[in-house]
Amino acid sequence: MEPLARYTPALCRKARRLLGNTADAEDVVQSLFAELVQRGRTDVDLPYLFRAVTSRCLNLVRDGGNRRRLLERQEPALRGPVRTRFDDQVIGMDLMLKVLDRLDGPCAEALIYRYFDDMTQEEIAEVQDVTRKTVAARLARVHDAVAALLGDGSESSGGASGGGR
Amino acid sequence: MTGAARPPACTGRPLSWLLLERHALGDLPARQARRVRAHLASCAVCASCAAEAGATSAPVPGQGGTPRRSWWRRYAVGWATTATLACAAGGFLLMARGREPSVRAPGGTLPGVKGGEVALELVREREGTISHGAERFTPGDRWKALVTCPAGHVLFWDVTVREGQGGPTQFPLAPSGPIACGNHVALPGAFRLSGSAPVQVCVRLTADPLPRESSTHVVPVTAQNLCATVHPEP
Repeated sequence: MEPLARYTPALCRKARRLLGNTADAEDVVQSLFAELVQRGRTDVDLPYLFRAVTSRCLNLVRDGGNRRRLLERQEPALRGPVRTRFDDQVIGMDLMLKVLDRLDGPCAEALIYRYFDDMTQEEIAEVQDVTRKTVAARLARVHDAVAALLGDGSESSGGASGGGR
Repeated sequence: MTGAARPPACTGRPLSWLLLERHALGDLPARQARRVRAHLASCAVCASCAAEAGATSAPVPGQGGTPRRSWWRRYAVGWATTATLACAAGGFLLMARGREPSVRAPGGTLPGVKGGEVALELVREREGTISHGAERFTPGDRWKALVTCPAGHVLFWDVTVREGQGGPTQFPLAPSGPIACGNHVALPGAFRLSGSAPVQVCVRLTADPLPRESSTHVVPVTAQNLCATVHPEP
């Protein structure tokens, strides 16, 4: 049972980076743990839990009502240093939400792992349990989707700044 | 932050958060851990992320040496009951803090609230770079205040800024309502600091709405002041 508890802070940080607020992040992690308890599945490692949290966060942001709330409640300061950028562009929440509409599930996951979790292709391959070549293809689709959005001019500043009045 | 200078970048390939978290937990094989340590020794950006990842077990201010019963155990014992679920949620909120707050109020508790630990952390944004617990300011920096207070409480708040010892008290933010307490709750709005003397930033938390004029005079017994002093860049 203890293994899950020791991962709590790491998973909350992970969810908070993506969702931009603490309350939703904690809800996501708590619901994941509740489900794992129910299924008697407590012998899991951090990479597994990272993927599970990513999946739940993506489900959350796919809902239109949640999106509005997340955008209103987001605190960019909780994102932390942004080390991986799309060219020079920070993929913030606003841009991320728009890109997600153009991606399938696996590509959406890859987007999060690359630009929010700073994973390498090798790490993403390991977490998604696919080859590095598949990851490269998924990231290429992510690249195309982001580039198309930025090219459309429909992207608003999604950087790690702001949050003030 | 369009048009801002590019913030410091990783010196090589950024270490992923997953890697940093696993390193902080001691879950990495020795060889991989050595590689991580070598990178952290030469990369300030990743080192700052590692510091955040490493603060996983930060104690609740004021609860330093007190062993806390795991939310997990409480959760497991009373799985079927709503009461236990609520208890587990409370325990979870207590456990799920991201890092040790950089500043603590003397005493660190809310009067009349059992287990009412409170803490303040200032977060600085400088040219797109976010720093937790920063202690230096320039006029261009933007600051936010993160407050930790007992989950389940709704508190009114205000932020005061005072330059030097005898400077006037200023109110950089305009609270539009109370906050729901929790861990590292960001107060709405951001502010800038200026001047050539150290600046004291205080967050006041009260159970009741507090007129601003009283902030410069007597602090009510029900109010909790959390203060941090930041200094101008030399």
